[in-house]
Amino acid sequence: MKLTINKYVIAFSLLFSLGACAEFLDEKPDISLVVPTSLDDLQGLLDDSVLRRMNTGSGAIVISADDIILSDVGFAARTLMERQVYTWDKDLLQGTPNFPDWSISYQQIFNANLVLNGLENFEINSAEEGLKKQRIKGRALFYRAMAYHNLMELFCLPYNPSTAPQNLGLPLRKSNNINLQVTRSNLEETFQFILKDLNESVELLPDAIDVVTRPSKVSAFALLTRLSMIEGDFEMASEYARTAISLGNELKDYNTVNAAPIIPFPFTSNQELIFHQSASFYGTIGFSPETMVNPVILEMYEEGDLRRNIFFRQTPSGISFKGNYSGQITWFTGLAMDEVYLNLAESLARTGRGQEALDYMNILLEKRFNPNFFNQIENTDEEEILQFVLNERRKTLLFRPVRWMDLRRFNQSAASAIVLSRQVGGEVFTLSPNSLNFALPIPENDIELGGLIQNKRE
Amino acid sequence: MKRLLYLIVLLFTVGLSHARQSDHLVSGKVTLRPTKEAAIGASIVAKGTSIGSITDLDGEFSLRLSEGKHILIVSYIGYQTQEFEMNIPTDAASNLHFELFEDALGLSEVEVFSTGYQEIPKERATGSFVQVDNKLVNRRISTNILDRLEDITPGLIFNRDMSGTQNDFTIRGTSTLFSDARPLIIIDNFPHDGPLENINPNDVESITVLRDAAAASIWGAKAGNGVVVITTKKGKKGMPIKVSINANTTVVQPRDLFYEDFMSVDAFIDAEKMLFNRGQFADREGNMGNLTLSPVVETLIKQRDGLISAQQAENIIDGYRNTDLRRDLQRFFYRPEVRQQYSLGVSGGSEFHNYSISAGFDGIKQEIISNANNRVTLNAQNNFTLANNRLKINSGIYLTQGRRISETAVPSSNYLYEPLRDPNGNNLPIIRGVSRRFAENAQENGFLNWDYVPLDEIGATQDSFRQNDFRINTGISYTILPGLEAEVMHQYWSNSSGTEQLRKSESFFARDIINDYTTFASNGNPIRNIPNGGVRDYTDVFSQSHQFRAQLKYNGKIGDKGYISGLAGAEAKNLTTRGNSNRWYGYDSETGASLPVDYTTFFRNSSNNAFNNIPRVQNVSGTVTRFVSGYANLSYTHDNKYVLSLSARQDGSNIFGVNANQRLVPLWSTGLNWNLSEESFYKWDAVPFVRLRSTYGFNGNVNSSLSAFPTAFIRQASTIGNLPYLALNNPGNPDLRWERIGILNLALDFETKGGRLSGNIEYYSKNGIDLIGTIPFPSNSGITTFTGNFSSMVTRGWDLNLNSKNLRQDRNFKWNTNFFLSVNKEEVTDFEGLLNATSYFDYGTGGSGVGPRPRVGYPLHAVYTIPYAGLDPDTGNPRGFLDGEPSTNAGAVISSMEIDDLIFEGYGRPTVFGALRNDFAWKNFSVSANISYRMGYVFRRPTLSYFSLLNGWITHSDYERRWQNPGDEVITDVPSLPSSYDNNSATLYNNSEVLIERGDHIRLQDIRMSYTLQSPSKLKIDRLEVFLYLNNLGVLWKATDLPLDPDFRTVRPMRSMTFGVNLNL
Repeated sequence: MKLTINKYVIAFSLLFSLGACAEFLDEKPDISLVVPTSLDDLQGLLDDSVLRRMNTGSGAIVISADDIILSDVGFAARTLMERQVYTWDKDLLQGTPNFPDWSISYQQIFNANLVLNGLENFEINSAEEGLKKQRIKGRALFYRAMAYHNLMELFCLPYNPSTAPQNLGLPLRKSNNINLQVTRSNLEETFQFILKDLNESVELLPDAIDVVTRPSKVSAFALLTRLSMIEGDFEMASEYARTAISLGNELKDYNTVNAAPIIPFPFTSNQELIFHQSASFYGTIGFSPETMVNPVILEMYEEGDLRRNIFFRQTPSGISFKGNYSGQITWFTGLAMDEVYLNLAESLARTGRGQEALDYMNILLEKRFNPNFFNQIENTDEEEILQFVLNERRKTLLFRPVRWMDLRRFNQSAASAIVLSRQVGGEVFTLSPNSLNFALPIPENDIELGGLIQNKRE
Repeated sequence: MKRLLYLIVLLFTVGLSHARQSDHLVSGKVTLRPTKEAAIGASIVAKGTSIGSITDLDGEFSLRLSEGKHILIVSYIGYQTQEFEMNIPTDAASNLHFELFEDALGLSEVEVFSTGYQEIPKERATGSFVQVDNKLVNRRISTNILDRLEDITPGLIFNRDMSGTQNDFTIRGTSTLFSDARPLIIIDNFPHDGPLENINPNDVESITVLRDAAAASIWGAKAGNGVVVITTKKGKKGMPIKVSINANTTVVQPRDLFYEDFMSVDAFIDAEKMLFNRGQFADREGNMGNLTLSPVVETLIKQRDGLISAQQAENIIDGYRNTDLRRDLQRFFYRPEVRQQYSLGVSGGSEFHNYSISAGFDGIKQEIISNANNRVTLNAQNNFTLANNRLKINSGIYLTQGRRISETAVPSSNYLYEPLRDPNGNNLPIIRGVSRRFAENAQENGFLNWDYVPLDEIGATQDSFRQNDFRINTGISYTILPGLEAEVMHQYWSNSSGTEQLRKSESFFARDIINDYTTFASNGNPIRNIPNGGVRDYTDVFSQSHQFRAQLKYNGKIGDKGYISGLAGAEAKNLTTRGNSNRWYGYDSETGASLPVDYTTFFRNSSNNAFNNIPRVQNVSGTVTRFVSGYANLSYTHDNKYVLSLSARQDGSNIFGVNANQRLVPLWSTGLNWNLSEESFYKWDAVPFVRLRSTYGFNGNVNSSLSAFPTAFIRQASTIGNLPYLALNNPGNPDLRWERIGILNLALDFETKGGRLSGNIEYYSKNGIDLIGTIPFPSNSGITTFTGNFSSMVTRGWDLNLNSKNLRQDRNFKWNTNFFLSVNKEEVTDFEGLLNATSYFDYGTGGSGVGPRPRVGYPLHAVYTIPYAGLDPDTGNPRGFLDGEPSTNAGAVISSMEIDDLIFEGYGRPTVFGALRNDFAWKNFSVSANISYRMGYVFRRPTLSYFSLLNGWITHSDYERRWQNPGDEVITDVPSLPSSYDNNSATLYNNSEVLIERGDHIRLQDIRMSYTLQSPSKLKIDRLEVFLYLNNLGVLWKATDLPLDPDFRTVRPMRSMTFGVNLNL
């Protein structure tokens, strides 16, 4: 105690020469509080799947698409926002200042920008640090690209290279300065921004997946495949998909999956996972017995198809989906290897390489069928092969954001356009292929306080 | 440690060396000329001895003298001192009468205000002080010292507009938006770091409340919300040994569980049946999360599935209709709370030394059975005067030990008809955690029993909290030259507390968590990933602070008429806190043995199928708060007519993530007094004392949670990926500034002839600049709310305080009245942020978390509503206005609303408040009654929640007044039951103008009755008081017709009765 008092006497006498007390006041007020500057700190900001939800995706994107059917009772039990998303309501988000599907993506973008900004000021002292810094930068760029991609698919009209420069894009934030008011770019700028981030991150990311919540080169290539398909560049898409597959990821053999549990897939140890993300804001709707799967899909499965038993459960009201790759009660919105195979097969089929497409389909389906029922698929009709690939796509990637993205993609050509319709209590709701309602409204706080232009609805 | 013990022993024993040697009683009375009023607090000392006495409220005194010749010195400040010679035992020793003449200086009375740095005589104080003397402190009975300030302190109000904050009171309104709005509490010269519950009110001598810049600016950056200075009892120089004993017991009425206005059980069950039939609960019933449903719904499910007949179901449900959980709770869980308080104090002093020692015990048997807390306080103070009065040394030690034990938690229920015990005496389970269907089959499915039986839980959980609080004050002052004094002070404080939460193996908590983490091996055998046994949590927190101060004081005359008083000094503070918490699974409280668990694997929870790892409660926390300050204070008095005061202070704090220059803030104040009645031209005899005061200056406010740079907390492991992560704490705000509050205070003090009516009136204006607030933010920035220096606001008000001696002449009957009136109006003058209409919703419900939002030209604590167009005649849906037309499209109504469309209903906090206290005395009896009033504010009355009802939970009785058929819209504003929950309609109705009620009310707060014996000749005691204190007597008048108390809308404050004895020897 004597010593402590001495310390005070010193601090005290220093007080009169003011600047000197600075040191006494330098003490951190909380041991766990930091100004993030070290590489570990910055990586820590990217690993925050709790507060800033770096691994959360959109649930509205699943509700908007046609994998999901709500019973009338189930519809009534949903929140107003979910009901309006489900019926593509013109007035969606009216009276709602915030919308998680929007704000969470922008939280992720903020954290990524904070990390990128921090890395700029970080000086490396060793080669090891250099590599670490490079990887963190790659991850930050990927998180930012993934977030903008999710936002683009929900809040912008479908991308089409010919109309994109005229359509509204997203406010593109490149810095963590919250006071900066950013207006909406055009859709082409938004698309190119995402591509640029991804192309840069591919150079920096590690090849292998160490933890599924952290991105790797595989994740970047998988996302690039999606974007190339949106762009209609199936040559590039197939290249990216092939690279992703070549980096050594595996498919899960469904013969080893026990279909009985309520959630058959493991949490993070599913080797098919590339990047974990789930719609963690939408647990109740995903878990409700009144949230059913579109019967059209159910009819597509053949005998011996393991997906039929693993993916679904019988409830008193009908058949519900339970095959979330998130391993959780919430829908999977991340990236997985099965999608990459299907992307590759579709890209090949659309560029006249049907046989090659079938080879990849056979690799995938072998893991999805009871061996007693599985025969190698053979076909020479390119049209039929494409249709086959698309059907398998429907049967495999359901209750993920993929379906909504596919609908937006297919609607770009009149031949493949799809009119969506659903019924609630006798009332019929439709979403036509060129509807403005493909772009969800932006939350009111961003319009009124942030000065953004609102999407038109009809 | 040994040294410490030695010190304690020394401090306790020193005081006891004064023996009692006197044996003849001398008594009498001191009055003042010309009014013949009793001189209260006059001192009578036998010259050359330490024997003396202080006159009581009636001006009477008594003391004991040994045989021989004595000279009594009778003195009273402001009056001429008299000496009186007497021989004991030959001269008459009783009914002595001294009449004192006014001193030429003519000070009407002397009080000193303690600022914590110095004691300022009232006549030289320019600032706004309120002194709560010992009598008033003791008037109210409470274990918490701050409660005793309510309704007696002008300008001070306890806020009840938002729940969830303890000791939430403000002095002269709020001058901060979202920083800590609590006033600073000073105890014995230093800011108090410990919990207020550790202060024994019986140790408190007086409390001074500092209300303006001149009074408080000495506390600088922490004084923005006002300062409460608590002074503990001290011995007095030359005072004979005095012993005081206090004992009292309070009994509180048991809680009124029927106060909250729920729909009747009958109506609720009918609603449940109707909702079940329309399929409302199907979504919850089949949910993979095993969501809970009510007993009635579970019965209906059984009936639907053919497990029971319709008749059986009807019988079961009829049983529920006749049950009310609240009756069972009152029977099994509640009792009248009993609080016992005892204290013993010994004090005294001689020429060179005085002391005060006290011990206190408070025991509370809480209103919930088998929950109790108690507190033991010990306190010893010694003051030494050495070296010809030049060296003063004081030391004080305060020890508090507190304990809280709770073995029961009152079960909560969403249904209110679940019985706790059946007619055969069997304890029954109620719904908790998982659905009844799931719990019923738990054991045969390999789980532990999953029932929650409230009556079996009593004693199955044991929560205990104990703390040891320890404070040592030391101070040394030395008079270097006459008038110049150097002073150093130090306070060491520490508090160590331990919280144990033991959930025995039979407790629901333990069984529930074990079940939740039970998985099954391939052969179907259960694997207990959390081993069977109890769960024990233990948290210990150790805090300590050092506060050190050194200052120079000067007091002295300048010239013939000038008097100067000044001080300058510096201080430093370091407060550190360390906390550890840990959890043991598979715990056996008999042996202390526990078992390890696997924290890294994710298990699927059996209850809701979520994926989680076993909760790990292992935390180490630590905080450091540092302050460095320098200050100076000067006051100059001229000719007893004019006083000028100046003060300046610079504060620095270890705020994190800011540049060094942002850590410091300079603050200042100045004040002026004019004793008008001292002027030669002043001739108004009826009002012999008039004084004008004015002050202006700046106080500050810290918000240490903000920073200029982005900051984050390091967290152990994320739920996904098992990685440590950084949780962003603050996005960073480079423009961050300290809050500053400019305060103007104008006051008039007066006293009529003979002190018949005295009081003061003060006007103040507080101008808050750079106030920190939290506002909604466009979420594309990465955050949804932002905290920064957004606004400025002005708070203006009046405080009027009047003391009237209505009847004083007749010795047998006295009647004094105290009245105060505080008026407080606030206005936001500047606001840099942008807000939309929805931001202004919800404040005013009384709930926690929904704070007010600033709007230029309006008060901060403003309640706004949406114009309501009544119910739709066809559907009973709530309507607002859309383009001027009634509309049920609530989303569009809310969305299209502009801020100007909001209706400003009024303030959410009282703008006019005060109290009227009457003290009557007849012979030895006295009665004091306090009536308080709070006016000029509104609140949103509680109403139904369709969200609750549609989830199957009981709601407000407004449900029974809802729209049901066309035409009902004429008689009701309560919307019809919707087919599905529409949050926009709920927002529209909940914020509609029809729910606004006026909060104005007058309440009879308390009555205190006492019987006092002064120096009864047969007993060797100085004073004996027996009292009865009745508190929370009820609302006398209220503006609203609702049956509820406007200030306590969910839990009614219950009446209490205290019986007590105070004895002085």
